[in-house]
Amino acid sequence: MTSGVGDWPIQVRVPTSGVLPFQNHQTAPTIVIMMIKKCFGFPRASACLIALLSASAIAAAQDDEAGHPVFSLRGFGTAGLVRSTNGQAEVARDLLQPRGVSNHWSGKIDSNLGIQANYLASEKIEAVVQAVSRYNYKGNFSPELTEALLKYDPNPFLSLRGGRVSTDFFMHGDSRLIGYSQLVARPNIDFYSSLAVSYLDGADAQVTVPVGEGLLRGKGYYGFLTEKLPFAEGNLNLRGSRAIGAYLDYQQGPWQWRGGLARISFKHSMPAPVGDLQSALIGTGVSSAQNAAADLELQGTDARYYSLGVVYDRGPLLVQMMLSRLSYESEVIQDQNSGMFLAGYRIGDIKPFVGYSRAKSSASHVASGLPSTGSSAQINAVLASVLAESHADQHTYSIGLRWDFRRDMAFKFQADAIRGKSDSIYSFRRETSRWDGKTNVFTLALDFVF
Amino acid sequence: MMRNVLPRLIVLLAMLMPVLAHAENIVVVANPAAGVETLSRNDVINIFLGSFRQLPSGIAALPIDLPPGHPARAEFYRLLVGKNPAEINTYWARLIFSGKTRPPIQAQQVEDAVSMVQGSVGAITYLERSKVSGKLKIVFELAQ
Repeated sequence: MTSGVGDWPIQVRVPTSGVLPFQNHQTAPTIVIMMIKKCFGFPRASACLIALLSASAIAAAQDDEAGHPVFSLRGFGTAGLVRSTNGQAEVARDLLQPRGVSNHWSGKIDSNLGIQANYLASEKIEAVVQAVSRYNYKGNFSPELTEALLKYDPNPFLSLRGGRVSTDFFMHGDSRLIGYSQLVARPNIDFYSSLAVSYLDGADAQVTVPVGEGLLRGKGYYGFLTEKLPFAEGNLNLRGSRAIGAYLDYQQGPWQWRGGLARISFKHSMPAPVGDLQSALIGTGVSSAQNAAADLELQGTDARYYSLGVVYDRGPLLVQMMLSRLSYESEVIQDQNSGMFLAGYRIGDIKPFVGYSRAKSSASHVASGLPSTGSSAQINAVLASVLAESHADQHTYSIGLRWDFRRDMAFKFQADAIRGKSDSIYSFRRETSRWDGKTNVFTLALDFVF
Repeated sequence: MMRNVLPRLIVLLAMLMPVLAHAENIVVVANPAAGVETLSRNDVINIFLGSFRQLPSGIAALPIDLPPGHPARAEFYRLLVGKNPAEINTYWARLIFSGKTRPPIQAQQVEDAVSMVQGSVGAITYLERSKVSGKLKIVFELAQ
């Protein structure tokens, strides 16, 4: 059956006679602007969700006739069950999650619910507000505002967005939470899990130009991060860290190639455990230890994200290949190279897929120069554990299927065999001393849009 | 063995023939005032999948989808990019929920799509060939 996410389920229609909607309906745009203000003002995204729902109820009640949908309310979600086969470490979906799942079924890491309101002020101007509830850095499902933007498309070549905008440092990085939009049950952990950023408060500009038989697209973005992520038993605060980036994309027929660069300038230091270690290192008065403390500083340093992606998507066949490199000026997080391959082929309503991915980080070489005796032995031990925290050295074989069993719904099954070294712990939580880096992850997911 | 299979296959194909013959070509239609003689397959893909919505004459293109469940809609995307409705839906979920492009306007019925194309210079839709009346310019044809 034909589907629905493009069908504008709740819509207000206005005559096509050329009258702009807001001339007829003063209230709707006012409500959207109020909503955006409210959401930026209130840290509690739950307030936004309520504002969003009530505003849309009011707007949706407005009259309609054949023409453009003006206001629409949509959503997406996933009910996912996951378990692994190794009880010695918990598998997390990404860096934003403080806990993961191990050898018992859990709905925690993949389940989410998102609601989005679109208001079309004119053919060229649109407002979008989105809130998502997912298992987050706080360890609960409190919703957060993931988009609140105004989009202006003056002509087919140019698209400008401002506000809270989704980011795609890596290809498809801005749709990681939208299970229904993906073939796989969960964005590849080796490739996407260390990409902590999902949105920024700022602006982006996209230019599209036909070149040859295809389309050349360039996009640049600039803004400030607001998210927090758990690290070393504390939370790394990204709020206020500056992000700038761009990508160049060429699409020709079924092929799409993309290369991207992004840079984050960290505004804050690592949370307390690392800060305490730095103080202890400085307190020793030994210059090599003080240098080590400086090497661990995150504040004022940059992270660089390099990525390449190729997608072939036509007919029943989908193939994706992506490579990335994350490079940190600070030694407190290890540089990482990742790559992934995914291929799926649709047979009827079922699309089986296979995947392979690899993540490898380069060990940091920071030494305190302190003797391994007495109190300095303890400092050395903490230093070693901090440096080990972001180490990844693993590859994953995946197999699964997506079944579009009814309109707007997909069922997925996926099995991942993660094969890593015992020191590969970056995407895991609560690993024990018996963790050997190897586990199998089984996932059942029901993705939907409405 | 083969001797038995071959005639059966022929019979099966002969039975399928009327079914196959029934499926009509889908044509993409524009407003005659749009100044467009023909579109390439890439043009049609770019307009309907939202990657570049401009007609070769320089006018901004306004794609209109037939109602969900209309057989010509599924046929159109199958012939254009080999995708079924669920895959097209998946594609739009990515773009809509990342705050990017809007999907084509949704006509309530075929007549609405036709009148929108007749009433707006950049509007563009698709129809079964036999449904094309006057005041519509055929700019692309998707053969079965």
